[in-house]
Amino acid sequence: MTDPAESSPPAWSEAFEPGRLRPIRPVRLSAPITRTAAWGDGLGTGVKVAVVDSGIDADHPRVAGVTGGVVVEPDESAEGGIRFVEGPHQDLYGHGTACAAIIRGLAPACELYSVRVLGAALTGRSAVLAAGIQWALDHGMDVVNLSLSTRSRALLDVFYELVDEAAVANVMLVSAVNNVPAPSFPSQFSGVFSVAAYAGQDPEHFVANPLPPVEFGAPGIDVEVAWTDGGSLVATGNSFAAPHIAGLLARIVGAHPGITPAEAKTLLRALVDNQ
Amino acid sequence: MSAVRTESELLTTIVAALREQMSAAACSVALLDGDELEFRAADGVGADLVVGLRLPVGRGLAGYVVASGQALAVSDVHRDQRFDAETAASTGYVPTSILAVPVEYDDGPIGVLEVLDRQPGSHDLETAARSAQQIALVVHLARSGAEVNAVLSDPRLEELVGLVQQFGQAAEPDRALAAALLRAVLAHGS
Repeated sequence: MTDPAESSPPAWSEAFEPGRLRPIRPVRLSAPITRTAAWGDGLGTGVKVAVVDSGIDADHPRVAGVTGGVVVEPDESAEGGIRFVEGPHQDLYGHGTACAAIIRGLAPACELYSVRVLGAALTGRSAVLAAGIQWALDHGMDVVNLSLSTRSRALLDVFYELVDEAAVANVMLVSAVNNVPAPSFPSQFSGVFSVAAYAGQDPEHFVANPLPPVEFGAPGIDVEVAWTDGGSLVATGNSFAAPHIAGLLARIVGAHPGITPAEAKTLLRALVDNQ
Repeated sequence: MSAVRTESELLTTIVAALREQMSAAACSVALLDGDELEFRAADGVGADLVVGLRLPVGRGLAGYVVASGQALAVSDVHRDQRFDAETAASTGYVPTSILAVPVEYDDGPIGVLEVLDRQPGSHDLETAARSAQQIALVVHLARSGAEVNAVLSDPRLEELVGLVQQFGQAAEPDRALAAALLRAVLAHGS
C-alpha cells in the first residue's frame, strides 16, 4: 500500500497543492452562506443523479440501490448508430460503483441512475458519451456526474450544445478533468462544474481554483472507494473528485428545488476552505 | 531491421526507463488490437511472460483506462475481487499497486501503460503520461514506416522506386535536368 503522504496528484491538481492554493474572494453578503443554508438537511431527498460511467453495482452496500438506468452502446442497425437499453445492468469495471457510492455517501436520499457508456466496444466513444448525457437530460436528471471525458474535438459542437441545454434546464453537469495535462471535453467548457483532485480526505470539504478552467478541488488522492463485488479500493484520480461535488450539489438541489447551476456555483464557492 | 522489431525495442526501452525512474517492480505497455489488448513490451518482474498476453478490453483496470481515457492509480489491487488474478498469476507476479495511463494518439485510445508496485513520488501520473505520449509517437511512426515499406515493396512500383533511388544518387546537374523533365511530363499530362 502506498503512503498517502507521498502519493501523486493527477494533472490539473497543481493549483490545489499545499503552499500553492491561493484564496478566492466569494461574494460577500450581509449574512454568510452557511452549510446548513446551502444544503439543508444534507439528504438530497428525491434529487435525480445520473452517473455516466461503467454502470453501477446496485447491490453494493455503499450504493444502497439504484432507481433506474440505461446501457448506451454502438449499434449500426439502430437510429443514429446508438442503442439504448433501459433497465438493470452490471458495472463492467467498478469505476461507476465507486462514483455512485461517493454520491450516496453525501446525499443518502438521492435517486441514483446508472447511464453506462463504457463497454467493450471502443468505436464511437465520444458519440456514446454524448448520447449518454442526452439521455440524462431527456430523463429529468438534476445532477449528472461525468468522471470521464474525451480529448476528441470531433464532436465539440455536440458537447457545446449539450452543456448549454443542461444550463438552461437547470441540470448540473459535473465533469472530472483529464488526469493527464491536455484539454478534454466537456470538462473544458465553462458551463460545467469542472473538478480535479486535491489531497483532502473529508468528503464535505473542498476548495476552489482562482485560476480556472478547473474550478473545484475535491478529495481524489488515495481515497477509499467502493469497487466490484461489494469490495473497495484505495485509488487516486480526478474521477473520484467529481462525484464529491456531484453529491454536494444533490444536497443543494434537494434544499433548493429549481436552483440554477449559476446559483449553485455561488453557494459552493461560498463554502470552500480556501477563502 | 523490420519496423515491428524496431517498435518493440523502442517500447521496451521506454518502459524500462520508466520502471527505473519509478523504482517499480514492473512496467508494461499493451496496445489495442480490435477489442483486445495485447502486451507488446515489458520490463521487470514477469516481463518475459507478459509480452504476447491478450486481454479483452471489457474488463480489468487496463480495460477501464482504455475505455474511459482516464488515468488511474490503485494502491491495493487485491481488494478488487474481480482483479484478474489468473492473468497476474500467469506472469508470476501479483502486484499490490497499479498505475495505469491511457496511450492516446489523435484523440483516440491505442493502448495502456501500466506501472506495478512503484515507489510513490510526486507527479507519478504526469510522468507516466509523458512516457505514454512517447509510446504513442513510436507506435504511430512504426505504423507509418510499415505503410511506407509496404508501398515501396509493391511490385507495381518497382520501376518507379528504382528511378527515385537513382534520382537521389544523381549529381546536381542531372537532378535538375531530371526534375525539369518530370515537370514537363506532368504538365503535358495535365
